[in-house]
Amino acid sequence: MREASPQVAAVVQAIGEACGADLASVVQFSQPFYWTGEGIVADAERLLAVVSERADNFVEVVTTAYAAHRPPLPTWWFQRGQWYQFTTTTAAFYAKHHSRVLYGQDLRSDWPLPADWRRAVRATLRWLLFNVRGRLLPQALLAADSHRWGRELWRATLYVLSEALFLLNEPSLTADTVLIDFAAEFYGHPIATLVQELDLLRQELEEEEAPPEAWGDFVGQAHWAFEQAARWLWQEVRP
Amino acid sequence: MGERLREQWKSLAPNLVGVLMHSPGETEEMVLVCWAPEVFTDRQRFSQAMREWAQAVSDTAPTSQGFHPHIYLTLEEVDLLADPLAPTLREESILLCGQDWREHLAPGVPAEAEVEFYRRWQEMMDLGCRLMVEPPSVTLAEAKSFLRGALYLTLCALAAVGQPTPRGEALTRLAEIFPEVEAESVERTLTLLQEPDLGGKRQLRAVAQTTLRFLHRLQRALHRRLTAQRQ
Repeated sequence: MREASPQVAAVVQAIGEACGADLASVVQFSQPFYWTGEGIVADAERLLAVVSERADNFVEVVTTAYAAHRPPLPTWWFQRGQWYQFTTTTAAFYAKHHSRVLYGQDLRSDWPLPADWRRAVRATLRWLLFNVRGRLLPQALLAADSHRWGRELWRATLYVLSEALFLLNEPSLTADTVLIDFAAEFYGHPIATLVQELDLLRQELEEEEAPPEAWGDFVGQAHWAFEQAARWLWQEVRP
Repeated sequence: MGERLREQWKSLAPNLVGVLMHSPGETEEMVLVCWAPEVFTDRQRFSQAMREWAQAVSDTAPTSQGFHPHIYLTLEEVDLLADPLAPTLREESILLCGQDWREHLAPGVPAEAEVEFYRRWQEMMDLGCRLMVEPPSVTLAEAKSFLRGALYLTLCALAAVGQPTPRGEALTRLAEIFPEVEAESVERTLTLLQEPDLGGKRQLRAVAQTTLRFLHRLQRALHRRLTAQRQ
């Protein structure tokens, strides 16, 4: 887990001072892949802020923080005592185990993890499928900038693999280890072979510094790999 | 718009089961494409079908609004759409072409809707707070997303307690199932969606505050209800 930048640390401190005792803790964490609303980023930092237990002022505390300084990173907001929200997402693993406290108390030992990883993986996968299929693909399949969209679909494919690793209770901590970890845990699996072949093609294109148009075929192959991986994982975790 | 889309989709017919459109003429149009399963097992056919699909989407996208959100799936993945959207899609969507696959949509497991509620709630906090403290930097699309999100969360909460409800009946059902959250406080939010500029940014600031409080009450009420159900 990287050190917080001085800018992030300073803004978090200012938010804490504005909220006073109502802000109990702020934790910085990252997970291998994360959908930002616009696309998928690797190893992106996020914050998790914990507000005091007083039920009536939760919205006011969060708004006070925004008015002082909008949090410098995408932020989850929890009220202390509402950890149940935590038990529904694979991101909870990273907040608990791949994080550092930037402000206030260290409450991480109180945080539960999902009792049912299949359910948590299912939630991520559903969201990922809707966003990649519904938002990225219509642009990616027709775009002139195949290099950009090829890399986007490559990240989407690795995101699926990183979620699959939760089924074996062996999640990767960073984006650059996901493919290796998946190949080791799912040795000989058709999806591992498919994605490794795609990675070879990707490395070839990167090393040759191929022009953007040369990535056109890669977009199609990455899309196929994403679909095969996502459809396989959905069958593994569906209700 | 519907007619133009219908013509586009007809050209893709051999690869499709059927195409639905959700909420035509209202605040957001969403196209749901059900593909034939063979599309996903034959690499060449897949590639061709997806390219034609992207072209059809591109041709029908109004340039000022960007793409319509599209969801695509096969019948074997139809449970992706279960709670909380299934009742709304079954009762409020229209069939653009192909076979009517709405009969395959069934409300699923309430616990899935609970997960969806918490995920969406976290996004709503960010958007709602930005609307309250920095309205000039919030785009119209983001503001609309926030207002629609309030309704979506309502559907999630109802589905999570085993009461999946079509969108048109959401507020009535909310008042019955969760009387403590004061459903009327969110009505103004939903009325704003009918206004082209959403009533202006100043009005949005007040609505955002009311809506966030409503959603916070709803979140707590949902948790209390689920805890009681599980004991």
